[in-house]
Amino acid sequence: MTYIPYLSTIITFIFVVAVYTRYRQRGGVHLLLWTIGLLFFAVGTLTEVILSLTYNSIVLKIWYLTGAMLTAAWLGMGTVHLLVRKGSAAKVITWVLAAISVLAFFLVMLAPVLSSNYDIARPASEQYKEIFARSGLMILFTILLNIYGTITLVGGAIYSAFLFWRKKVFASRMFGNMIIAAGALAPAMGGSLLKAGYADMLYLSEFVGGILMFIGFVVSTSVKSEIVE
Amino acid sequence: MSRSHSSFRFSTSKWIEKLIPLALALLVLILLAALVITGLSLMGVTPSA
Repeated sequence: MTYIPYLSTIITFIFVVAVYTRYRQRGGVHLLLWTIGLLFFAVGTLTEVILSLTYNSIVLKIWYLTGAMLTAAWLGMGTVHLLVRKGSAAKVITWVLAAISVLAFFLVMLAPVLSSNYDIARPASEQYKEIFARSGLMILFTILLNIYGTITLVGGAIYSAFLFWRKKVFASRMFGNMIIAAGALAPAMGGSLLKAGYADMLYLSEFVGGILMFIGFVVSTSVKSEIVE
Repeated sequence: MSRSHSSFRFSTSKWIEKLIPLALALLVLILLAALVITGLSLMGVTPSA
């Protein structure tokens, strides 16, 4: 199972470059926010690779901060910017998210380390609770950020796909959004099952989610779906 | 070359016409399931509690 984070890291960094390249070509705050979210995703899987080779408490904390707290929320923030064009609500929420992210950084970095008995042969998701103490505020932020990110990212992709289906336009964007929704659901479900203590499939769900979201992005931005005014 | 939105209209076969809303509904159900599991773990009725 330890090779999965290696594959996830390669895929997500390529995905980061693809979305950032599109942002450079076309602009759009949503693409920049997706780039930030995907960068958190890629850093999260990279820390899984590092933690499979050696243990460092800071690396474990970066894994928690990026993977468990920030990725979904920043990806969802990009979707909010794409769908909510009127008013300044999206901008205000982005600043609130930025402030919470900074606070989350300090909360995680200042969290007391309980033990150095980290087993590099086991996934970080199986043992992080024994290694560092999470405050109530940290847990609350983790849950709220993930709920917000999951609803906006997955819900936004489903809503977009529904609009394209109803109007019968841009088939590739419709299918692309459906694949993105399925891809975003994979790590969301993996994280939910982990939180609930049912099953630890986080690494596999990240891998599947990364691939599906990348495929969805490629499909929905394919030449056939371009709007030419 | 200028093209309107109507240039990008698509038509689907009958079974795809039925399959897409079903797939969207399934995605919504999985989304709700993920949120319910998170809610249950918050209420302390899951093994991690």
